[in-house]
Amino acid sequence: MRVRSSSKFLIGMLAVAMVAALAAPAAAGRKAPAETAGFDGETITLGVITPLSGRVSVIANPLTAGNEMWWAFYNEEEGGIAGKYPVELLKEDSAYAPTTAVQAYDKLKGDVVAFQQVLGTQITQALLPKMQADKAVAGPATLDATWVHNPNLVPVGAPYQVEAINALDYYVKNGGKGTTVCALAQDDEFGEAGLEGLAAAKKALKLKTGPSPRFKTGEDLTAQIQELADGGCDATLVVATAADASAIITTSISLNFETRYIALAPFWLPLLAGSASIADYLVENLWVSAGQLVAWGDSSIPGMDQFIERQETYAPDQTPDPYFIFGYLQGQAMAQVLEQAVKNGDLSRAGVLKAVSQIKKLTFDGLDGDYKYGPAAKRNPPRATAVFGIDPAGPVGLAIVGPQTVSAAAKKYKIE
Amino acid sequence: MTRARGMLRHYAQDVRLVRSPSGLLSVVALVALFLWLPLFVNDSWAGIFVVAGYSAIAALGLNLLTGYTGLPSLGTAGFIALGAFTASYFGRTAESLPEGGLGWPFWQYALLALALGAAVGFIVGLPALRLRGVYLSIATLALVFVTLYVLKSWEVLSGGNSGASMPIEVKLFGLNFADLGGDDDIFLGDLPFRNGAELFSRNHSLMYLVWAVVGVVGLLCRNIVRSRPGRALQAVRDRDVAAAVVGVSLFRAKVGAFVISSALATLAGVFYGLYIQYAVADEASFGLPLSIQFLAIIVVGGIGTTYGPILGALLIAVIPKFIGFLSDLPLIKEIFTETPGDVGFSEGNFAAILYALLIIVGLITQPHGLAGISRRIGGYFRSWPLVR
Amino acid sequence: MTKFFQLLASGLALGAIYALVCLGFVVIYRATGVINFAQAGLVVLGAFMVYNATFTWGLSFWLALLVGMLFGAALGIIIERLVLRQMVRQPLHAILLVTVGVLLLVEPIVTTIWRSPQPSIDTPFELDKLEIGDVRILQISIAAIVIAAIVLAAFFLFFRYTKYGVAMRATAVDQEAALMQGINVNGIIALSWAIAGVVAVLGGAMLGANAGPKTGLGVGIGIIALKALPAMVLGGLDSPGGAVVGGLVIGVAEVLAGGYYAEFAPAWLKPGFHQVLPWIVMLVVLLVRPYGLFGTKKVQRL
Repeated sequence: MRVRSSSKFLIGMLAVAMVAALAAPAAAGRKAPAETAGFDGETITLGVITPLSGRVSVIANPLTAGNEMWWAFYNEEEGGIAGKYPVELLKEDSAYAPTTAVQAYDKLKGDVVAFQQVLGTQITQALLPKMQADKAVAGPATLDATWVHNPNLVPVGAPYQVEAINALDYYVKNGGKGTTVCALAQDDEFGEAGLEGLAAAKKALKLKTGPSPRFKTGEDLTAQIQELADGGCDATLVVATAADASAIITTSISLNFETRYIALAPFWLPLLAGSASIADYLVENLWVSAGQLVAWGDSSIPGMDQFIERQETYAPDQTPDPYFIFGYLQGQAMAQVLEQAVKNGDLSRAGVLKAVSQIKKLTFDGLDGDYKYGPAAKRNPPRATAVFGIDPAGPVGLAIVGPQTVSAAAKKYKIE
Repeated sequence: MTRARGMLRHYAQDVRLVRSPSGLLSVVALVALFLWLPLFVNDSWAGIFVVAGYSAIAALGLNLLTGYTGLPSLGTAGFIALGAFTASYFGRTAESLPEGGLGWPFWQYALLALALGAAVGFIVGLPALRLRGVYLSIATLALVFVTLYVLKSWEVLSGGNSGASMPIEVKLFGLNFADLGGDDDIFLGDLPFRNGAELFSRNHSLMYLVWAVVGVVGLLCRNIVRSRPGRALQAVRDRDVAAAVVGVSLFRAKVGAFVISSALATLAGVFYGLYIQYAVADEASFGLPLSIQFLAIIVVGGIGTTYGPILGALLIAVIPKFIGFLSDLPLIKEIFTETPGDVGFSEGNFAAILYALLIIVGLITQPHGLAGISRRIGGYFRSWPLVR
Repeated sequence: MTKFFQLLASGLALGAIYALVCLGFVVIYRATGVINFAQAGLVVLGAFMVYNATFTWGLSFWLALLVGMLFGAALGIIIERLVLRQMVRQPLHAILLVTVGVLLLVEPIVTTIWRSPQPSIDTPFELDKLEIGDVRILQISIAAIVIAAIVLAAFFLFFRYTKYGVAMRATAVDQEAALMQGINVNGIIALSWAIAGVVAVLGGAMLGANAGPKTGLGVGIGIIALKALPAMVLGGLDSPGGAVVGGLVIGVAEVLAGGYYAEFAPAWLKPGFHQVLPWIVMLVVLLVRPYGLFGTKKVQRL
């Protein structure tokens, strides 16, 4: 075995010849991108690494369906990227376990141009070193602020920290001044993100804060809720996923704990509003802070009618689901990246990575605010979020109470 | 050689490391395979072989404990976590996250991991003198949760909720086993020996290191079980009172088995870390399912044989590939899997069900595992034509 | 003091759930000497079966519970027949593993059949609670405590006074001897599985209806069911009474430790301690009394 670099020359020559051969028919204008991993000259393939099985599949399935719906629309009506390269998704189950996800990544990476979706903070972290080595690009399906300045990732949406700050700002401006704000946070990195938002809001809004107990998913929450009740919490930032939403609400009801719960987007699943026994408490006590796009079917939101129309055409069976819209948004972002890459005539992994850094901003037909892109260090996510109350009659169970705004505190918040 | 193949003249032959010329031949073949395979497989398969490799290291240890000594343990995941975070803290450089890594070279933190694993294994082994069977398996499971809690609380080491990155380079004997090829393709003679244009990846490089260690560990375990300590372990498993009566020290046998298996599991954890490159000390990564997986490996491979755990590790690592292949078959795809939102199995659920069924059906129909199957096949050929 | 009693009440409610789940583990352990990880799966399936009977078929909660129990019994017998009976004479770890295999089947099956279930099972108790002073407890949790007590009493009467109960005890002590006495050991083991199935449905239905930790309906129920393991070991693997005591002790310890963590825990003790406490308690008990509080001391020390 010996390592020889001189033969790289030969391969380089071959590659050049191939590029030339492929580029010849497209002499009309810019050169067509060369065939590469995930691009056979006709179809562009994107990877999806997401928990298609197990308990997180409740989130992963609609999210992936959103990805698929976007590309079904784009392939059909726009003819795919640059009007001629339709996009296909290749899905692999991560089972929400890092080892499985890493294997899925190794399996997919030779067959895809980029990754449309990678779900899970921990899983994204586990894949990042590999993506850096491979110059691969992926769309993370969590709103963690950690992703914002990472050149290998294409995040969309306002980060959790911003969601928290905006909602707390709204709370303070609407009768919450001088009251005690507490938190109930999951004991993981998502919980940390929410608490960072609370810390920033505390500084900017001069909040008085109370206890902020942590919890693990599936545990008895009496101790935590009791601590909050004893701490005189007028408002409570709740950083939890839908898996624990029912337990948090039910325990609060059982302990007569009255507070203004302010939850972040992952807390909400539409079917929570369908449960008669907790609906009253939810209407009375819960706000959800999220991008305005989750208000499925609300025509006042720009781009919503268009979205619904496309959904009815390309995914008619889909029930209203906030994660579905998020998946759609992700597709929109990736389409803009790929358009840029094709414009550069380079769909290789490195080419896509370069395209990400060249995009000025990502736009979402008004469904979500513009995301300033460019070099990773200069990225700036949309900082506008809305505050929702619970409306069991609405399609996703939510109704806007505080329209989409950027609070001064959120604007100032520095994302590292 | 005039004697019939497979016929043993005296017991010394039975405990020999290599029992026959054909055995020697297969050793040579294995070494050749070890050198050649990484040049041939693609990145995805290389990753699977790395997983199989570190799984085999831990499974060889667990096999000594469970297969030879009869002490079932569900604690492997805890030691894997210990190894991974040892590699992380002592191996990662000061600039990587979380800050404060020591940047030791590979051999130092690998040895440290072995020592730490052995020390913890010694402590865990003490109660094992009093507990047996199911009690012991639950007690070892408890240790997983306690270990994870301690590791996660120890934020310098594990990064707490944010997790920790792993060493990027794996330098040993002047080679970087995380990137053997450097930026160049690898050639054998004038032929590019890799299918596909990918560079010689981290997985390919790690494959050499991991499987070299599997070889050393396999030899070590083989030597243990064919010598006096190994017979002592088996005596303890079969009837510990009788073993004590004939002069086997139960303390040495049981605690010793725990020390060795824990040290090996921790070493496997180091490679787990190097492979996965990032870890959080929580149950999603190091919980009961991971421990169960190692138990599955030794049972599927064939308990109480030296090569069984290696076969089992290979099989369990390949299963996802196999399931992927199955569910991609057009007929199966059409019948079972549907898009999310419709009725029918989602692809992920279909795969999960197949995995569970493979375990159940495999255990019922092949109680002696892969080793049993290969022994039957071997026996068939050895005694041919005297077969039924 | 209110806080203490509140935590105590919640701890007991949680403990009652642990106890119910434990009883299922204990029945199987007594009959076969194996910890049946599939029990956690039966709990999940039981919860969804009862949910299906109330929500989809529109039965009343109690009727649905009955239907669920029949289903659980049948399922227990089927699993024993199809899987466990094929494993006779295989070593302990193989049997342990095959029960894990059955457990692994449950999650994909449940998420395939019930894609987006309601957050919880509807019961006549809804979320009404009993208030004694400032101490509050959901009525459904009280129902869980009562059911655990009834099941324990039924166990006691069954094992003490019925032919099958005595046969089951005999089988637990020595299978071969029981066989010699003309006891149908296979039948007894099948009966044990049926009982375990029934108990699992009770535990699952209570969890799904927001008793104890109030997590409602979801595959996450299986995690809680596995957390009953320390309770089981604490009580002694083969003692139904021990399972109940162990369950209550662990439940109360967990909630109290969580409740007083903020007040008393030193800085180096990170949050989440109360979650590992049950396992630590269990380890300590095992070191001091290797066979739990009420378990049978079978083995001599060397």
